[in-house]
Amino acid sequence: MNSTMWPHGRGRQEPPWTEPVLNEAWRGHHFGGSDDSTLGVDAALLHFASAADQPLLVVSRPQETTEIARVRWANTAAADLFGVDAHHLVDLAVTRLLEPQGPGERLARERRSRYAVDAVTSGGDVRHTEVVAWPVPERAGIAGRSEHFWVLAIVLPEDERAQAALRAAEERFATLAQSSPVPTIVSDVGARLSRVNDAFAQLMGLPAEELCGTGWLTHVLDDERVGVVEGIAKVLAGEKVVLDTRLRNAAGQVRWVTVRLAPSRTPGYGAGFIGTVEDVTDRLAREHRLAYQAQHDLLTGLPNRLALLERLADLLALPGQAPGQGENVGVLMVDLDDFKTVNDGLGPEAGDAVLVEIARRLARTVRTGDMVARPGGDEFVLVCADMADLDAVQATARRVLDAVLAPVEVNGLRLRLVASIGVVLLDGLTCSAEEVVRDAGIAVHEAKAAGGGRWTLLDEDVRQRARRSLRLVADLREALATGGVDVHYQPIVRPGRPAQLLSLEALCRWTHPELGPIPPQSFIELAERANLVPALDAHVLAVACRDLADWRAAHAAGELPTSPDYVAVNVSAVSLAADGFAAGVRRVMSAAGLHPSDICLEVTETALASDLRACRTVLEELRAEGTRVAIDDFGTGYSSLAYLKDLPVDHLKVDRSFVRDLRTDGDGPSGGPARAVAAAVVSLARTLGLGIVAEGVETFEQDAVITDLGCEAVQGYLYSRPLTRQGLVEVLRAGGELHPQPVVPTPREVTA
Amino acid sequence: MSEPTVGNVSTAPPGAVEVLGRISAALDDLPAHRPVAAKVIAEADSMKSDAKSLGRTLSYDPALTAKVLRLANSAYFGLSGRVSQPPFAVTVVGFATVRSLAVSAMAGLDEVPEALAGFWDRSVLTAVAAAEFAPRLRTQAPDAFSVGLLARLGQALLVRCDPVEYPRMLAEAADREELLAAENRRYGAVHTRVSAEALAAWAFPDDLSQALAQVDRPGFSTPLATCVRLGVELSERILDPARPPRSAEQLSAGHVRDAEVDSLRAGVTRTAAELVQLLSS
Repeated sequence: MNSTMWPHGRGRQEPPWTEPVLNEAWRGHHFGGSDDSTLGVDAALLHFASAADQPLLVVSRPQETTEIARVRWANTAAADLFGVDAHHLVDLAVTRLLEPQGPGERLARERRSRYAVDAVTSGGDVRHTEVVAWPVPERAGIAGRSEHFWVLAIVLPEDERAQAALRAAEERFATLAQSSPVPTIVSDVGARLSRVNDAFAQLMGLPAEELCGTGWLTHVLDDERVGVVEGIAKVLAGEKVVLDTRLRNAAGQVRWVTVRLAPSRTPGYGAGFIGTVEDVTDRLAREHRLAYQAQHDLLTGLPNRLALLERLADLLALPGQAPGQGENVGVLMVDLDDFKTVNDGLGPEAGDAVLVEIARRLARTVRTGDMVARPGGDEFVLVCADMADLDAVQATARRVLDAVLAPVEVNGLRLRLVASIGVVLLDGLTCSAEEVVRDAGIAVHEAKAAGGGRWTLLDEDVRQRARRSLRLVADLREALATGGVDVHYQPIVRPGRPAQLLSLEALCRWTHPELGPIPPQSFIELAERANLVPALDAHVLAVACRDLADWRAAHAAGELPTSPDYVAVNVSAVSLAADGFAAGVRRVMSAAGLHPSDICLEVTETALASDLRACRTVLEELRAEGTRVAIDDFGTGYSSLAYLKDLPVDHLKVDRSFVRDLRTDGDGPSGGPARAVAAAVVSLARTLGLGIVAEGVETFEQDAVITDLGCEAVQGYLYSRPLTRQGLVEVLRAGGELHPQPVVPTPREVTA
Repeated sequence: MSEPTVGNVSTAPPGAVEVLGRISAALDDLPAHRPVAAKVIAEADSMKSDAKSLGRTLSYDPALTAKVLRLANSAYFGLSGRVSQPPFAVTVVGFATVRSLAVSAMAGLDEVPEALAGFWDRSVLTAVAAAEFAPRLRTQAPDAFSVGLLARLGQALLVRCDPVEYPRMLAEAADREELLAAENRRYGAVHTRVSAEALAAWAFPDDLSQALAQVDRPGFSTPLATCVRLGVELSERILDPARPPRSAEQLSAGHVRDAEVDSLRAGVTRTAAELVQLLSS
C-alpha cells in the first residue's frame, strides 16, 4: 500500500492506535542509555533477532528521497534463505532480494504493511512468499535520524508449506465433497449456502448456482420451512442437528429427506455449517407400503381385520368423551347372501370383481371419518359415527342395502346381490373389539335367518336368542355324538281297509334333556346352520339300517310275520355332494347286512335342483347298484320337466300341499283344480315309469281321491303317525296292517 | 487516472492538501467518537474472538446493534424473525459484515448527509452484486459483500472534509466516471482509494483494503477486487441507466461477460431493496 497520498506523511508521533502495547514498550525504552538494564535489554533483543528462525532484514532509505531502501542488517536465517553470508547482504537493494508483486515497494511509514514478494536466492531460486514490514517510529536522539528504517520479516517458506498443505487439504475436501454421492451443502453466512455439490444439484434437478444463497430454501415445502430455519438457527448456535423434512425438486416432485447439519467455525471469520441431505423417499415408501399391507385388504384396498379391531378398540376406550368421539357409534356388518353362488358359479375372478365393486359402493355410503373394512371373505364392516337413534341406523342400513342391490356387472352379466346386515351400537358397551365383531356376526345371522336382504339390530333379545341357539347347537352336536338323536318311522302303505304296510320313512327326533322334544323343523334348521346335516343324515341312515336289519332277522327267525320292503331315509344335497357319500352308504348297508334295494334315498326336489350335477352322479352310482331313489316334496321345486326323464329316480313323493286341497264334493271326484294337478302328476309319473307316493293324507276324502287317481302308495296321519321303534314292531306284529283313522287335532308340541 | 509515483512528495494538487490533511486527521479522530465501533472492528479480525465476545462488545452500541439485528433478520440471510440476540446476529451475518457496519457507523453514516442521498442504495446494491460474482471468481461471498458495502465510504469522508466543493462535484458529475475524473483532478486520488486508506488506517485485513484500492485502478486486481468492481458496475447500470456501461469482460479480464452481469439485475435489485430499508432506517 503506497501511502504517499498523504502530504508530508501523516506526521503523527504515535504509532497507529491499534497497537497500544507496543507504544508503551517503545515509549518507555531509553535508547543510547548506558545503564545495565537498558543495555541488557538492547543486547537481548538484538540477539533474539539474530538467532530467530524467521529471516529478518533491517532496511533503510534516506528521508525525502525516492531511492529504493537498502539492507542494513540481516540475521542468520535470512542469510540462509538467500544462500550468502549475512554481511554480503548489506547494502543490497531490497527489491533485488525481494521482488514485489506489483508496482513499487510497499514500505509504509505509518503502519506495518504486508505484501507478496518473490524471494530470489543466490542460487537463482525464486520462492514466492510474503513480507511484513515494520516501520521504526521516529524519535529524537536515535542514530539514523536522517533515514527511515524498517524491519522486514520474511514469511518462512515452511509457513508457506504449511499453508500449501492446508490449501491442498481444503482442495481435497472440496473435491471429495464435490464428487461424493451424498448431497452436501456448505454455508456462507446465516442460512445462505456458498457451495453445493453435484449430488445435491442432481437431487434437486437444478444447477448449483440456483441453490446457493437462499435459493435452496425456496425449494423446501412451505409447511416445512419453519422447521428447517429453526434447525439452521440451532446449528449456527453450535448444535448438531438432524431433521426430516420435504423438498420439492425441479420436476415438482416431493422428496422426503433427512438433513444432517454440523456446525463449522472459522476463527476470526464467523460460524457456518456443513450438511448432508439424504433422500429417504424410497425407503419411507417401502416402509409405508409394508405398514399399509399390514393394515389393508389388498384386493379392495379397505382396512383389514387388524385395522378394524384397532379402530374399535380405540372407540371403546373413549367412554364419556366429548361428543363425536365414541358416542353414537354403530357397527354394521354386511354379509352378501349369495356370494358363494357367484364365486362357485362364475369363478373366483368374478367373485373378486364383485367384492371390489361392493367395496367401492360401500365406501360411498359412509361419511368421511367413518370406516369401511373388509375383515375377510364376503363380509364388510362399517363403523359409523352419528348413529344417534334408530332412524339414523335405519337410514344407513337402507343405504347399504340399496348399494348392494343395485345390479353389479360382471363378465357381461348383471348380478343382483342381496345383503344381510347386523348392527351393533357401541353406546355404553364395555366389551372387547372382538366381542363387538362377534355380536355383529350374530346379528347378521339373525338377519339371514329371518330371510336375508334386511338388517337386524342386536339387542338383548336377539343376543339371548343367539346364545340359546348356540347352546342348542352345542347340545345337538353332543346328542348326535352320543346317540341322543332318535329315529321314528312313518309307514308308507297301500291304501285300503285295512291298508298294508309297504315301507317306512325314517325321521329323526330329538328330545332335549331340559327343553323336551324339539320340533324337527327347529333342530334341522339348527343343524343346517351348524353344518351338522351330513352327520344327522348319516346317523339316521345308520340307525335305520340297523333297525331294518333287526326286523329282517326277526322276520327270518319267524318272530315277526312281516318286514318292510325298504326304509326311506332323507338325504340333503349337502350330504350327497360330500366326498365319499356313496362309499359311506355302502359301508353302512353292508355293515348291517342289507341289500342296496333295502334303502331308499329321499331327496327333495329343491335340493336336487340346487346342485343337480353333483347329486345326479352320486345317485346314478348308487341306483345302479340297486338303491332306490325318490324325489321328495315333488311339485315344490323348480326342476324342469325335461330333467325329470333323465333323473335316476324310482318314485316321486307328491308334496302334501297338493293332497291338502283334494275334494270329493262340490266338483265331484272328477273335478277341481287340485285334483287336476294331482291327476297330472300321477299321469306324468306313470308315463315315465315312476312310482308315486302321496304324502300328507289325513282325511278319507283325500284318500278317496288319491286312490281314485291311481296312486298305489300313501303316507299320512290317516294311516299312521311316525312311530317309535316299539310302535312299529307292534304294527309288524299285526302283520303290517293298518286301519285308517281320521286325524284328531293334537296339542302343538312345545317349541324350543 | 495517473498512478501516484513512489516517493514522499505528494502529487496531490495544492488545493487538496488541506482536504487530505483533514481526512487524515479524521481517520484518527473518528474512532474516538464511536469507540465501541472501533473496538468491534479490532475484535472482528482477531483469532481470539468468537460470536459471543463480539456480540457482547457490539451490544454496547445500541444503534449499531439494532442495525446488525435488523440485517440478521432480513430475508437475505434466510432466518427471518428468528434472531433476537446480538451474538447470534453476529453469527448469522458474519464477522466481515459486522465489521463493515461498524466502519460505516464510525464514518458517521448513521445519518447520511444530504449530498450523499442514495448512499445506502448504491452501497447495498454493490454489496449484493459483488457477493453474486464471488463464486464465479472463486472468492468468499461474505468478504465481497462486506467490502462492497464500504466501496463508497471515501465519499462520506470527502463530504465531511471538503464540505463545499465535494457536494458540488457530486451534483455536477453526470456519471461515476465523470466523478472519478473530477476527484482525481482535485485530490489526486479517487474516493475508492480514500475508502481503502480508511480501511487500512482502521486495521482492516490488508487484502480487503488492497482490494478497494484496486477497484478503480487499471491493471492487476485480486479476485476480490474484481468482484467489487463488477458490483460497482452493476449498481451503476441499475441506478443510472443513461450512463454508458463499461465492458464487464474488460473489468474482469475476461472472467465475466456482460450478459451474465445483466442477468443478475432483477434479482440483485429485489434483494437489495429489502436490505436498504433495513440499513437506512
